[in-house]
Amino acid sequence: MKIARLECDLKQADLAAQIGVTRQTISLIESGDYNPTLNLCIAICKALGKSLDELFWEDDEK
Amino acid sequence: MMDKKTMKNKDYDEYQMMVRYKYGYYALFLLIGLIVTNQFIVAFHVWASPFLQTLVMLYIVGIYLITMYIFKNAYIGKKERSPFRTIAYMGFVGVINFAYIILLRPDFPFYKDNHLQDNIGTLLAAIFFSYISVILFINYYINKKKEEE
Repeated sequence: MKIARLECDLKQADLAAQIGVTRQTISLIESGDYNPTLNLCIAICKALGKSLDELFWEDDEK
Repeated sequence: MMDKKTMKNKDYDEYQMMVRYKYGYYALFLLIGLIVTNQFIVAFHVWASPFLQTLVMLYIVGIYLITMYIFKNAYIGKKERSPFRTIAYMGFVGVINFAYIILLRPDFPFYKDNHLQDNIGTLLAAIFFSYISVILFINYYINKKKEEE
């Protein structure tokens, strides 16, 4: 998510303002300390122009 | 389903709401624990009037809640970008309360005949508001440091 945000040239505060959350919440999601609801995931995806799979799906590394 | 527009209209975001519910729940148990503990203490020594006992218990719970809300960034709503307005307001109310105690009630005892006196409420309010102001300020710098990192 952090990479996608940087690709869009957005700061945490900019993304937070776009989707209506605090900067700290974005920071916690990026660091993996908070699991957002599906609604928030969708809002983040729309803001960053990515799909849910691209942003939040993790492949099991074998 | 909650859309983006709805999320923008709320005072707190979903993480902040989660934190507020979580620590509100813990605070309820803290209050129950304090009530039970107080009943044991009062059986041996009545340390204040029933009104003040209730006030002090709520005060402890309030301090706990405020501390957790602030350090978990769930105290100030998402619309308020800078905490300085709240810091100034809380600090001002704290100072007014301290001034009231010092200027108008300098010789009024808070503790008399092994009892806390009801007028300690003003001192508790002064400490409470000043405390909020101070920890908001500390948290602001903690966040700022994290942001720089």
